[in-house]
Amino acid sequence: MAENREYIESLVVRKIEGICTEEELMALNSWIEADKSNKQYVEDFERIYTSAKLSGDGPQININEEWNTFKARLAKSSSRNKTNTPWLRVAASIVILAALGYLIWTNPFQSDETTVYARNESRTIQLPDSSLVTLNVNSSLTYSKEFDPVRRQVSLQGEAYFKIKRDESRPFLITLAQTEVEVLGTSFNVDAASDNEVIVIVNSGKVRFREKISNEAIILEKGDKGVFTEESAIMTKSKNSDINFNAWKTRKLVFEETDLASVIKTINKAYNSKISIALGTAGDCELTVTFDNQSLDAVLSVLEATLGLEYQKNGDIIEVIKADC
Amino acid sequence: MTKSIQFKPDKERQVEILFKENFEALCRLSVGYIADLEASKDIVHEVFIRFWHQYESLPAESNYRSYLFKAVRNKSLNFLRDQKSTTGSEVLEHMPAGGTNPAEQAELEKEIRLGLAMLPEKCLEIFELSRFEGLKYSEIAERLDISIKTVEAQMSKALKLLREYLREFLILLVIILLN
Repeated sequence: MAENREYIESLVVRKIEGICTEEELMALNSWIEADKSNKQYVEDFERIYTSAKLSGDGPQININEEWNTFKARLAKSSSRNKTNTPWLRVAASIVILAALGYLIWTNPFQSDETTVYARNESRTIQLPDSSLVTLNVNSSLTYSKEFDPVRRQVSLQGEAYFKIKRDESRPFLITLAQTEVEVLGTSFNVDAASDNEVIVIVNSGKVRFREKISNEAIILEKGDKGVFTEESAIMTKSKNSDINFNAWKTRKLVFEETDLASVIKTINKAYNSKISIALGTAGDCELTVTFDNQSLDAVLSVLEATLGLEYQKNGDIIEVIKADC
Repeated sequence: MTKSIQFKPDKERQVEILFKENFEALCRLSVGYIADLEASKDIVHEVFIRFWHQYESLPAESNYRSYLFKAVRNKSLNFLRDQKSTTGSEVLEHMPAGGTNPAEQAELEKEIRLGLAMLPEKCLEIFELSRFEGLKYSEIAERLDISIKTVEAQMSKALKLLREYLREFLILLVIILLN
């Protein structure tokens, strides 16, 4: 009965969200019919659930304006304390005026540069020229709200997938620490998240990948991969063999007779997860499977079923402790 | 891909990033409770001003984001309580008999929000994402990296606790509806 109760409770929350299947609805209805208090239970849940809903659109907020408001309020709040004597109040006003004058004079928001951060989850930004950039976690992109008439320039920290709108009169330039990527219009992935290398993988179109100091450059086309190694300052070009290179964005993973260690590495990158394999486990496990936009839990349970994996979870750290192959 | 970007450690920069990244979400949270955008913005600004002054005294390892959300939630609930004592629950007594009227509905919505204060944190977070952000169970599961089953269990828990909290209120409603 206790188990049954849990099942019914999950059906009730599924019903009010409107995601019950036909069978589930039937099961729920017969439970509702069984007792008047059951009916009341479901009705109360429904009532609370709908009444708690926030109606209307989200707030319309101009974030730079709010930040300026905040700074002005902050200046006020900092000087509001201990202003009992008039002369002190006058002095405080002068300080505020001076501070405001200084803020306006050196206003960092006068430049129309903006930086977008993706911390815990990836996010897609539309640039002023309607190019799209998807930032991976722990990455940021700085760009000007109005692009220069002769070129579109952004700078990247971390990893991002770019889908650049074609405009031959205005090349698109991505500046990285020691390199730059120049394009006219194309889609490609830039991974500069590692300490010692930058990887550019081109999905369509043509890209110039250039080292800033030596001016050395390589041209990358569809399917090409360019790697710049910081230590040796060498640029290499090869065919990209990693079909999962932008899985962090698409959440589509394809494995063909892939060994478990590589599978885990790819999953970690795609889901920003922390899975490791315990020493001595896993040996020769190979996997052939495609995941299309599955949750990490779903992916893990498929591995559990196909390779007989067993996990040990500790917070967000997952260790594979057993594999049946 | 494990290296995280080092942001400049200085205070203004750090606060600016937190402000710009979270201001809107914090406003949305507050609006969820008090249904008033201007008042919500005020609350969020006040929280950030206090955060600025306390910044040095907070432990270096604190999760600032969760601090901010908690502070905004508490302030919003206080705002709601203050409001409640002035506009009061006499609404119910003056209600015309029969049918659900808007005043009664508004009162229920307010009671629910006050009731949220006693939900466990995880439960509350999921409930807010569902009801204030309008996310589907599957979207909540993905965002928090938990299973849909967990989301359903937490929603059920939230609704059970709220129903308990609202028991008298709901019974009263039923009586009025029956009249």
